Order: sequence, then C-alpha cells, then structure tokens
Amino acid sequence: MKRQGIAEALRDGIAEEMQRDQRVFCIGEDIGVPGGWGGAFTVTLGLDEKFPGRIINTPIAELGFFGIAVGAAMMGSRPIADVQYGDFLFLASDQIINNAAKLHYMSGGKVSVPLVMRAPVGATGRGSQHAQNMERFFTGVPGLKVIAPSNAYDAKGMLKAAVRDDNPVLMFEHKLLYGSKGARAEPGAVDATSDIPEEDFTVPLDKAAVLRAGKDVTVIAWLLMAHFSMQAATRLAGENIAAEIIDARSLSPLDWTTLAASAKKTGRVVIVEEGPKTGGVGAEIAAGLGERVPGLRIERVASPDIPVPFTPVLENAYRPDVARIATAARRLVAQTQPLRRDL
Amino acid sequence: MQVKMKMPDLSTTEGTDIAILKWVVGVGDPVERGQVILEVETDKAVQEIEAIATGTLSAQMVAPGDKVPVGEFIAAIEVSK
Amino acid sequence: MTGGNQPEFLLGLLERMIEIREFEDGVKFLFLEGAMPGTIHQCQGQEATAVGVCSALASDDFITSTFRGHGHALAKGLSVQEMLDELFGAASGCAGGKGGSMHMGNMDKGMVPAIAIVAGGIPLAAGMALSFKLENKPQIVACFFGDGAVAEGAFHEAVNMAALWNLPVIFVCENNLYGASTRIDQVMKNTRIADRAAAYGFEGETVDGNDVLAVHEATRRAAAQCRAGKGPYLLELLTYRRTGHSRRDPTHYQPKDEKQAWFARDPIDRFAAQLQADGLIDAEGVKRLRAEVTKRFEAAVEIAKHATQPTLADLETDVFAEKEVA
Repeated sequence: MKRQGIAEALRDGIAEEMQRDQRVFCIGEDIGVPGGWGGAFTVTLGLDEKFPGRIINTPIAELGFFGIAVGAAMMGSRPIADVQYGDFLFLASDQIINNAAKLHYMSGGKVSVPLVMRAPVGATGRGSQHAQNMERFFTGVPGLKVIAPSNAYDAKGMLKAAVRDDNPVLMFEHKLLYGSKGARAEPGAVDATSDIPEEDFTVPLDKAAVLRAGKDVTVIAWLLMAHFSMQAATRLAGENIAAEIIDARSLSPLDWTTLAASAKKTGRVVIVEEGPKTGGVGAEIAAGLGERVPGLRIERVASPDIPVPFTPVLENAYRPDVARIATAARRLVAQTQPLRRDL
Repeated sequence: MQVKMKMPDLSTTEGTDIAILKWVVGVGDPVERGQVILEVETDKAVQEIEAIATGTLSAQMVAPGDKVPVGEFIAAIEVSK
Repeated sequence: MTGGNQPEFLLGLLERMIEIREFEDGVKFLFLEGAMPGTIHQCQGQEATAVGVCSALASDDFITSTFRGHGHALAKGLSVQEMLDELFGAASGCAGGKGGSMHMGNMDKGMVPAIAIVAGGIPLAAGMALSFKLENKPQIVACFFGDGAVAEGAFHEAVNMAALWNLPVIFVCENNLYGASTRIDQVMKNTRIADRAAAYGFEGETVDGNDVLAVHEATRRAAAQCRAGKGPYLLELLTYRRTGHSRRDPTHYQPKDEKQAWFARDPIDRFAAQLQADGLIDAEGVKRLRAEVTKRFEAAVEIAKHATQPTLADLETDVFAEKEVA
C-alpha cells in the first residue's frame, strides 16, 4: 500500500497497462520529450524511457492526432490520447463524436474503437480558454463513455478499466487534483491522494460512489466539487444535517440506480457542478431524477452562465464553493418535508 | 411486360410539384435504359428524365404544362427482353 | 488480384470496372423507381481510380473511403449483394442496415466503414498505418479522398504526421475537378494537388486517373515504397464524374465541352478498346461481359428487395462493444 496523488497513480496505471499489453501506447503533445515535462501535468513523466517508441509526441494538431488514435484503435491498437487542456477537445470533436463514438453502431457492430482519451479541466487562473469544464459537451453522446474520477484510487482503477474496455472512453481529470509537485504544482490544489494497493485493480466505469452516507439531503458532484461537497457535509453535520455525498464518477452512462436510490431516501437533491448551470450535466441529472422519483426537490449549484473570468476575485465567484453548497443543502432541508413514503 | 415509370424525386424543396416541359421520345419509339425521354423543370433547374428500362415507349402519361408531384406515374415502357 | 500483365488479370480489371458502372447505373434507376430509401453519391466515370488502386493492394491491406465510396468498396472486394442489401436497409447488409450508402465497409475485406465527413477519414488512415508500423505488420493503407478534401485541416494535420513518422499510407486524391458543385480553381490557388507532398517532405505524383493500368502501376510503386518503410506517398489521380454530386444534381455547373472531352476519355471504353486492339477480347466479348454483369446485378437486386429488414429489437443494439478484454 502506498499513498499517491492522481498524477502519480495515473502514471503507474498507464505504465502497468503498457507493460501488460503491448498494443497500448500514448499519443499527445509534449508527453515524451527526453528531459521534458511528461505532459502539461507530469502524468507521463519518465514513461518514454521505460517504453521507447510508445510515448508518441505529436505536433500541435489535436484533430489530426485524435483521428490517428481512432484509426489505430480500429486496427486493434489500444491508444491513450490526451489534450493538454480540456478546452482543446473542441478541435478534435469531429473525430471523437462523428467517428469514434459512431463507428461501432454505423458498422452494424463490426468495428470497435478501444480508445482512451484524457483531458484536464477546471478553472485555474489561466483565462477562459484554458479553464472550461468540458464534461457537458461530451456527455450524452451515444457510443462514448465519459468518466471523471475525483481521487487517485478511482483515477488509477478507472484508467485501467478504460484501457481494457473496447469502447471509446473520455476521462476528465481536474487540474487542482493532480497533486503535482515542485515546478508543476498548482496554487489552490486540493488533496486527492489515496492509498493505492500493490496488486492490480480496476474500478467500474459505470458506477457512482457514495462517499458519505446521510438521510437528510443528497449531494451529487464530481471532480473538484466532490471534495468541496465532502467539506460541506462536515459543516452541515455540525448543524445536524446529515448529507449523503455521491461522487457521480461516471457521467456517461450515469449510475441511475445509485443516484435514484439516494434521491428516494432523502427526497432532496443538490447537484453541484463546476461550469455554467444552463445545459450542464446537472440538467440531465435533474431531469433523470425528476422522472424517476416523484415529488423530488432538486437544486443545482453551478457556475453562472459566463465564460471563465481571469481575475481571482471573479474566478473564485465563478467556482462553486463549500459555502454555496452548504447553503443550498440547508435551504432544501428548511423548505421541504421528507418525502412521504406511503405515496 | 409493361414497366411503369414514376416521377423521380428531383426537386430540392420537399413537396413541390415538377413541371413537364417536353417529351423527347414519342409513343411507339424504341428507348434504351438511360436514354433521355422527357424534360422537366424543378424549383431549381431544368432536368432530364431517363428511361429506366429498354423497350418501346408505350404511354406518355403526362403532358407539357402539367405540374406533377413526385411518385405519380409519367410513362410506360413495353420491355423487349 | 495478382499483378503483371496476364490476360486473366487484365480482363479482370475490365470486368471489375464494368461491374462498378453497372452497379452505379442500376442503383440510380432503382432510386428513380422509388424502390430504395435514402440518398446516393455515385462514381460513374471514376472506375479506373478505384480498380487501379485496389488491384495493386494485398487483400489484407486496408482502404478508407468517402461518401462516394461504392466503387472503392466493389474494387476492394465487397460483394454486390452485401452492398445492395445495405442500400435497401436490410439486416444482411454489410453494416447491418445501420450504415447506408455513405458507410460501406467490410473489415474482413480490408475496408473500414467509409467516412462521410469530408477529409474525416484521412487521419483515420494515418492512424491505421501507425498501428501497422508499431506492430511491425507488412500491411499498408490506401486512403481515398477528393480534391475538395484537400482544403480541410484534417488533410493537413494527417499528412504532416504521416510524413513525419514515415507511415505506410498512400494518400489517393481522386481529383475530379469539383467539390460538390464548386470547381477546383475556385477553392485553391495551386490546383496541382500532388505538389503539396513536397511541402510536407514526401513524394507525390499526378497520374491519368482514367487509365486503369497507369493507376495500377503507380499504386504498385507507392505500395512498395510504403512497405519498405519509405512512406507515405501522395497519388493525385485526374478523373471526372459522369454523374451528379448526389442524386438530385443535374450537373449544370459542368460545362458541356468539358463533359464531352472527359466522356471521350471514359476509362471503361478506353480500356476495352485497348484490350480489343491487343487481341485479348473482341467486341462481342465485351458485350457478353456487360450482359453477364447485368444479369448478376439483377439477380442480386431481386434478393436484396426481399431481404429481411432489422426490427425494433435492433434499434438500440451495437451502440457499445460488449466484449470485455481480460
């Protein structure tokens, strides 16, 4: 057992999968430069020495190299393609959405695309084009799996499961959760370390995780917001409000079984999302829970409908924080009676 | 054996009728599959309609000036082979 | 198909081109009859590019194709039956009825589903070649696209990386002078597409795309270079579309004299004339060949018209691959 952050755990996970299966390779910008950074967030640091020729550095050409990764996957390779900032996924959208996600269906099941894609998201003082939460643009795309681990254990386990899955899987990672050290450390980083076992393990791609049980209100969140929600739960517990915190983890498909069971239990749901409220993933969660649990009270805590501002006072207002999460939970509890079980 | 031809779906706007301009082949004339037999006008352009079978044109079922919807019968060909 | 100039091989090229022409003309009339759903983008006039290239590939080499892919599919070895079944939307179609005209493919015959987004298949082809190179496989990829695709960023990015990494891919540009209805000189200043290869540091050449043997020979050379690790290669094949962009297009943007000049260089007529001049077949023989091909096509149409359609139970299958890798 060892304690690791997400960047280290991902690095080990990628290395173990490349060791286990010769068909796995990484492709991206600045990921395998000798003496380089190991990618913008150090995840592939040192892997080019361990696996010569299988950490492929590309020109700045996201559309091109994501398409190349899709093509290689069709022939049986198992690539891991990454963008330096999630915002750059837009450039590769045609290859991800029109090709990778559709090829299995439009071939009548004859072609598979065992492709893993990785993208860092989250507002971190770099301005609106290096800051978006991109999950909303890629969830609900038929044929594409979308995951968003919030801690090192889940990140490593889901990465491995994704590599072994025969479908395209897009994994979102949060810049403030990597735990990168030294020159690549992020101001405002949150501890997302976990105890990582020695033996091989995977985490399912389609299951949410109940981080904390509670009977009064359900809080559904992912990535950085999962951590803030846990902090809010501690605060609320001091006010005798027992919040159940669920890390959604799997955004496409959503784990309706876990989410709906909790919503039925508490009758009150707060959905926390970093990113504009209108049309976010939270909108889908709200609609789906509304259909499944009659009489449910729902509130979304999300960013305002604005591009991400630069100046810290505005960026901090953009990002939902512990206080806003606790306020929403408190408000729902005060306004509503528990669901009547006999209805 | 008679093969009947329908007005093909040539117009770019859904649901608009197609105007008959002129017959290029007469009743009783031999036709080959692919041969132009009729000129029509859609909302966008003058287009040519080709015979879908080889034989003899046995009936002209529309006349110049008619406005014909897609799918309506326009001609019959007595197939020779 | 084997190479060389054996009579059997040459007559095979002619028959395959006639098969493509008959398929496309036959499908056109099925549409005009109202018998077939959807839309079609046809390739009459471009038979020599498809047959010339595919005849120089091994059966386990792969091709990528476009929305105008019926000719590529037939040339690569897909059957008339599986393609007609697909056009009629039947479950026995090569894509289970779920793809349609613009997504023909058969992995067992070395064709991935055609990609309908212009230039969308070019990065795929480079990636397929990358996979072969990483795994030390002898296979190569031929990537079909049109003159219109050259303007897309995907072309630039994929070709640059293919050149950078010496990927075993032949980029085959079927330059038929038109991207939909827009002529090539309206969309690029340098209309010699093969010139672009040098800009990326690799070789390209321009070939008479209506001369099936010239296309075949150029492809053989390009393939040998790719297999020797000296890829990629850019082949610009000059050809012409004898039909509309899609089935509603009366091609009024193609000047009459231009059309006439190209029809006089029809790839099938030229090759048939050449084989007759060389004594390999006579006029009666060509007629017989066309009649046989027509008969086979019509028999396949009868089967396709009655082939079983998918049911509602098939609606939501094949979204995800179910197999879990150990």
